[in-house]
Amino acid sequence: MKMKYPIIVALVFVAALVLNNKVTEWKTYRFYSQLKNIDDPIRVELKKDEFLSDEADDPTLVINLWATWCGPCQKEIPLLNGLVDKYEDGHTLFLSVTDESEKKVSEWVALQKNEPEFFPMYENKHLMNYLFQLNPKPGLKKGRFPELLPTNIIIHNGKLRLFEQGFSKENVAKMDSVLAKIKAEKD
Amino acid sequence: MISIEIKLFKNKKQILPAAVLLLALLLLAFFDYWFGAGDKQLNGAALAKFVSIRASQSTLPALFFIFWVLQRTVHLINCGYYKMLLVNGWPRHKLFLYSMLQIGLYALSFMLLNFICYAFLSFFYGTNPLQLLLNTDYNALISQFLYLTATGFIALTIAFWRPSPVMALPVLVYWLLEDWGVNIIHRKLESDAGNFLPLQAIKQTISENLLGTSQIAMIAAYSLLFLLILHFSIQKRMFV
Repeated sequence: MKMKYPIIVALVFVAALVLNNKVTEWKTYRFYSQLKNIDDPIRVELKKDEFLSDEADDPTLVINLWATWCGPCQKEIPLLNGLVDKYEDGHTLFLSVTDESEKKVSEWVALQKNEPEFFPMYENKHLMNYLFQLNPKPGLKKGRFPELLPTNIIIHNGKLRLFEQGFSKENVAKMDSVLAKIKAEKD
Repeated sequence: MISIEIKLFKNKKQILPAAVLLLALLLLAFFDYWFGAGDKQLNGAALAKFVSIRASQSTLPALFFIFWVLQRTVHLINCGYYKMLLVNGWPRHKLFLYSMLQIGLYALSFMLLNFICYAFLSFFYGTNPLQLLLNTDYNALISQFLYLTATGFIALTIAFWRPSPVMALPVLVYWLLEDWGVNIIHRKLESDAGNFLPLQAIKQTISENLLGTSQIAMIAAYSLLFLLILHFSIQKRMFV
């Protein structure tokens, strides 16, 4: 039987898929290469937000990428709240970004003991995808969310100071030390 | 091949299934506008951008596409259309290539019908078809075409394997079960193992994420598998 036909059709299909993916990738990288600072896309999103537009020029951004279904993200909340209490000043924005809807997150928060104190940004998968790309380690930028959450990022004056994925007390301690350094630099 | 397929398209018997499909797509489009204009309070270009993204990235329309392809192909097999082509001297591999052409045409027609639904409803929600076109990401459209084609391979494989309209039911049950299973694996077990299931692997074609090598390999493997089964079904089937 002539098996070459299904193989040829499959090859054409995969070639189209790869080509389309490459074009999308190229568009994404072209977008990044035009940026002056890595935090520009975040500030653009902040300016669009009714409640966060005033904070769009804060020099320090502490960003937590999370989801309500992510167990480790829930465990991290009290520790992250501790960082807010310790380092909140007029120049540091603590931001939590999720791709879930405000309604869903609000319903979930109502059932929790520890309410997240980070400023929430909802339904922003686009920004999440951008932030995942900031990972300086190779090989973790693509793919679905479970292995990527929670992700914590600290950006100060347009420079990436911390990028950590997964929950551990050591990661939160690293955030604490980076924020302490930034505070010392400011003082 | 194209000319006989176009003649087939003009057949009056195609009007009823196409009308049912149009209604289903209109309902989906209505939900997107309702959510965008109601819950999210969007209008004009912002609403057009929102619905364009939803239209090109929603996985659900493919279920209707599978039903449509399934019923059409089952009808063509059972009414002796493919048998007639064979009697007219078509080799069986040409039948396979013809079915690929059909999938491509069906996917394009499906996307056109989908656009018509969104364009029609746009007049009721303070936007217009031009804004829809201007806010469309054409890479996302190509991804949608590839996604529909891949799901079409599955529908064709099922239709040639068991040419019965009742096959729509197990497809629906499997679609729902896989969705539920992936959700459980994703949220409760916090694992991405669900992405290895066939429909979920193919659904990744239209997600916002860039595809990694393993994801492309999985989609390629499933597509080849379904195409091979389809090819063998066409080779061995005794068309009535």
